[in-house]
Amino acid sequence: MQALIQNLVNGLAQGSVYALVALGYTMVYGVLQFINFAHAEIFMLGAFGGIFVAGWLTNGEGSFLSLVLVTFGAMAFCTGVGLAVERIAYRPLRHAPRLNVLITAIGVSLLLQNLGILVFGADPRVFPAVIPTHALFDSQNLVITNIQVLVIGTSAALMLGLHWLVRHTKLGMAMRAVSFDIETASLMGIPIDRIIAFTFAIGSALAGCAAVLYGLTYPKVDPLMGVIIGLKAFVAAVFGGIGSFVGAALGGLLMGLAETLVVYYVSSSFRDALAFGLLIVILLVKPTGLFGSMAKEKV
Amino acid sequence: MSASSAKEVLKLNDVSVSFGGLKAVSQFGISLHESELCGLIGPNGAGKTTVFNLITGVYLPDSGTMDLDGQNLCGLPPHEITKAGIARTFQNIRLYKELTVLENVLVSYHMRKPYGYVDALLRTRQYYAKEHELKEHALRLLSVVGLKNNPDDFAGSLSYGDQRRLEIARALATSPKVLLLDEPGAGLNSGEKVELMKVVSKIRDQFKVTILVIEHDMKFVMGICERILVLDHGELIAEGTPKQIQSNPKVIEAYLGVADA
Amino acid sequence: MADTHSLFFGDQDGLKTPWQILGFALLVLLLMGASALIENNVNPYVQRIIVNCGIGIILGLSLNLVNGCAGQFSLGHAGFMAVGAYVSAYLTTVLMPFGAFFQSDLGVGTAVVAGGLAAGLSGYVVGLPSLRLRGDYLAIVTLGFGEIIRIVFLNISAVGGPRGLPGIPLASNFFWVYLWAIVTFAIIYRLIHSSAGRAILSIREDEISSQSMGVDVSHYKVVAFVISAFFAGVAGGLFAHYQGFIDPNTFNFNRSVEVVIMVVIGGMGSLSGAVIGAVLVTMLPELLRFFAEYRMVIFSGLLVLVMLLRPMGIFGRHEIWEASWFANLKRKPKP
Repeated sequence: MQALIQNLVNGLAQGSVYALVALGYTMVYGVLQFINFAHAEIFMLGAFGGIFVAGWLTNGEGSFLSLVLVTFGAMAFCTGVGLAVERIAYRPLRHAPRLNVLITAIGVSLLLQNLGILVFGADPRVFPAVIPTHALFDSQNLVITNIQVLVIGTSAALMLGLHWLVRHTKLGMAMRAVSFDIETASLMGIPIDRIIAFTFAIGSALAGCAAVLYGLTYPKVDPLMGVIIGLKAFVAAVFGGIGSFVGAALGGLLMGLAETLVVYYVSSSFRDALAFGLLIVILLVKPTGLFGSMAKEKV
Repeated sequence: MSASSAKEVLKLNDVSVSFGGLKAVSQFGISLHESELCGLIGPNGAGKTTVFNLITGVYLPDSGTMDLDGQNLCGLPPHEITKAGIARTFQNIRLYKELTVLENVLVSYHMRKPYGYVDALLRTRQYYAKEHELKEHALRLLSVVGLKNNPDDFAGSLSYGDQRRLEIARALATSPKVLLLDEPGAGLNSGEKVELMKVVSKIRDQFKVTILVIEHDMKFVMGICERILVLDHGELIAEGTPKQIQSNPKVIEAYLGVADA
Repeated sequence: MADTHSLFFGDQDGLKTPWQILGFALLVLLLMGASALIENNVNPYVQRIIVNCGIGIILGLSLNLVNGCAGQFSLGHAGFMAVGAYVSAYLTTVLMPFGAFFQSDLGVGTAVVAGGLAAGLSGYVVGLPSLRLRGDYLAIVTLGFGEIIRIVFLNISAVGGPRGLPGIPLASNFFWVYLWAIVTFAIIYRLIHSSAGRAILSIREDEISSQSMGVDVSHYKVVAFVISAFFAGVAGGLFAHYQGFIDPNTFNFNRSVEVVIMVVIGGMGSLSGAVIGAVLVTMLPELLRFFAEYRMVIFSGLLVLVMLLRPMGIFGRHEIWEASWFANLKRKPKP
């Protein structure tokens, strides 16, 4: 029983990170209907951004303030990269065939990966323990750490904040309008380019925060780390129904739980295959996911 | 009209379909006769194109029967329905834009499997003979619709009116028993429309094909159709000769609304 | 006489069968000559690049059938290559009872074809989801299949698992690779310029009108996938018997992307474009050898640049010898 609770907590913490990244995929898909492959690399860059900010904070350890600074630094860095990618690579292709956008996204993703290898080196680095881990709850088989609580808490807060932004602000309304019908939204005077840029900014910032949270849990950071996290987050987004915010959040959490349980009860060698297997099953059985809806082509 | 004496080709009975609770077409029934030219009219959103989509298998009806020469069409995939003998054009032109005009027509012959993979890969005599024959036939069809001059242009580069004609040629190439034309005159100027009317009548006479045409232009419909069906809110509200339709109060009401509404 | 142009492309009346056979024999002789010439006069390093170009050409041409002609976006080509490589290498290396036969040229040839057939079978499996999915979704699913195939080989100890499979007979060479490249080109070219090929192209252009004109869209999507996978498998088999060693990582996602780049750079739907794209993509890393660490950066940057500046690739959808591609160069991409 305790083992199960332990797994649920671990899975929830893992799933929170997936959920934050999945939101980025889903938001971009919502407004532009394409999979932003480069999102995984934004996540990776967030982890490196966090390392650098922590480095600048002299000893970079201990205080809650430094954690806040590291997090905001990573988020700001990711936002900048996200905006640059959108402006340079995606905006010129706004009216190009979707295949071209897809290929461009793959190209940007590879470019960022390889730039990462070039700049940071291929060897993994250690994410600094900005706040040291200690157990908040400890009985023989069940350990809940402060980091886990922090990860789950921060993610929950961010998701609620996003929900509020999308549902209750003018900006959120504009985002929803753009994702509903980009042409009509532009006729209604909504500044499309700005809304899209804003969407990228938010998605990237979430990825930056996710990267710091992930780094605190698994301190191994390398330029290719985005690939597998990105994939799992993407699967989570598809599972929830791509384009749906609630779906992405729920999909991420379920993905984290499923993975933890499979690793514990079946075998750790299925950790990564699970995501692909799940993806294929979802797409074959219910391509729209839990909360998604696919537009049917008008004849 | 001698329509009743001619053979029945396409018969729809009590066909209904609804999308998310909205009845798009309800209890629709028609019967088309051999080489009849029939018009389908109705206000916007009346369900005309939906009827075409039902007949061609793009949508599956919730209930009702459809048969072509006694063959049941319900549940067949679109390409099987085409093979059975129904061809269509599209309201929003759907040509293969990056293929040539000739190739656009040639695709339609494929369902009869003119030759096999072995012929294609070894370029046998059969391949050349059939390709030659198909091209000749396609060029003849193109000249029927008045497009014989530039078979090697890309379909996407044609003028709007020519694209509409090419859609008709492409549909004809499947050798249909019933041809469904979805607003063939949309976007054409009056001169082009007169041309098109001639082409449509000529096709009916020459190929002995049954034609059902959706068209908003009353001059067009009244000018060439022998019989007209009027659809409103997914229901057939009137049926008859152009004269009868013109004076039918229900039709006038559907188009103009009730006087004191 | 049997000039190569009409041999593959056919002229108005077509070539009679005896001439086709003669032409093919002539071509084989020519290839043998070229092979002898290259093997004796060109340094091994350059030879290796030339052969790798040939393997790239087969891969590019085969992917072009699915991505460029049928308009289905597949991102799992490395998976098919892996199936072909492993199946053929298993036959010639591990399967002992027939050891003697599979050491001969004929045996290796059989093994390569068997690898192709196995890959074709896996292409059938991957082709099925393409019936329901399109665009991005299909790309992701094919990517997933490609990775799953790799993970499967990673876990089969009979073929070495993660350690790879060494000691594969070095039976493939310039001659075999380019013979297959020519056969691939001829078959795909002739397929595309036939009735079935037009059906495949029409799916790319507009699936809905394609089915309304009687084309069994599902059938031809799967046909395109199977043929494409077959040749990818053949390329894998040739690759395995050229390298002498394969491991699952050889066939990772980057390999799939590499093939996509070949097709994209050359122009989706253009066979000659795919050939040139394959040669460029294979040569470029060698030319950039001195900037080894910048290689992948330049590569991926190039992909993005091509998409931004010339989205239809070098040749668009046309072949080199079709005069209109030149005019096309000046044409701005339509929004």
